[in-house]
Amino acid sequence: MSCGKVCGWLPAYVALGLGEDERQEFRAHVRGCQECRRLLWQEDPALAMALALPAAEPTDGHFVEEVLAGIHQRRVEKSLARKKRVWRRVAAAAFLFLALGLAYERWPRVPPPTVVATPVQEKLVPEPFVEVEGEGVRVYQLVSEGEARTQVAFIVSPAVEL
Amino acid sequence: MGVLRLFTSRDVSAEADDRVLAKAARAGDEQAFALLVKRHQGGVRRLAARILLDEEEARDIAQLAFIKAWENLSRYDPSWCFSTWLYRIAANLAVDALRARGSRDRTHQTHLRLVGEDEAPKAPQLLQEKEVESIFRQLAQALPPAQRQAFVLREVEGLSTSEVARIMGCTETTVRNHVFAARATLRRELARRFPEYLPKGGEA
Repeated sequence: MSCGKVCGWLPAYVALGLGEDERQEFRAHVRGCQECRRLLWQEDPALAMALALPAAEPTDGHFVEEVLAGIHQRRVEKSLARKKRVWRRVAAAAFLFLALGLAYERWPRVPPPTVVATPVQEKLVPEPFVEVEGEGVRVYQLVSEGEARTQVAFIVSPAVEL
Repeated sequence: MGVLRLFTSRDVSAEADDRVLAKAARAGDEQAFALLVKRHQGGVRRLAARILLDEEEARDIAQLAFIKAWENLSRYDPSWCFSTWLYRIAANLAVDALRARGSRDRTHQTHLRLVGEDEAPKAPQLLQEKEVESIFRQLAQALPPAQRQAFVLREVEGLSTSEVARIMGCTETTVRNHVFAARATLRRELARRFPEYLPKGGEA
């Protein structure tokens, strides 16, 4: 790519208006061309600075091992946390069970209703008595023995024989 | 060159390999995952370092990103480039760490700059990569997390706007807005801290 082409694309690059392919081409050229980078610096120092930053990637031989070790550690931690959670639930359930048991034991109970056997009083069936009032009318009155207030009376045709 | 050079045939085949490896890793193959780590560790660490501006913290975040990737392989959607998915995890973790760090670090870096102000300025075209890195670290302190993430992913790492949008979980317009805002902030900070490097006639 020529520097002249880059100069033509410079305004569009600064206005964030370049197509993606052209943008990548532009960036690749400016990274390697100090003169074009100087031009870009004149237009926008921040954009020029971004392209002048070192591209070298930090290398670290132990990084991968450390990541894998971190993964294993997290796995162990999660497993322990899961076990802890299970034991905590079991302990909570046991505690609840014991508490319920104790509460049941100490709960004030309502005594069962006591049934007192009373001697059955033989009810005396009152003997009917007959009273005759007037002619041709019979009045039968039945009165229980103990309860003077209760009276049953009925009138029967004299033709009917009891 | 960034890890994600997306538009060459070599990258297309590498991405296909990544998907095969990811599938094997999802089935529990640790060796396949180790290959993925080996292949992408550089890019992920560099991305985290550019967002966090701290190599050591970036290393920890990169490790955590790979561990999280392993744990969430079942959720990996093969329609995504594996590297984009990985970058998403790493970038989100880095931004979370950045937000958690708060303003404490910004104060610290300002102090460092004040201590080192006696260094003789150099012309921008003579700046070495290490010096650019150092200046960028100091200027980027002023960027809010979202702007820093968008700028690093798009302008430093060279990802496409659509990929950055996918990684950040926002629209392409939002990504462009973040990038424009980041550029303005960087230029303003350059004028304030390193006026000697400002382009001729350029004002903040």
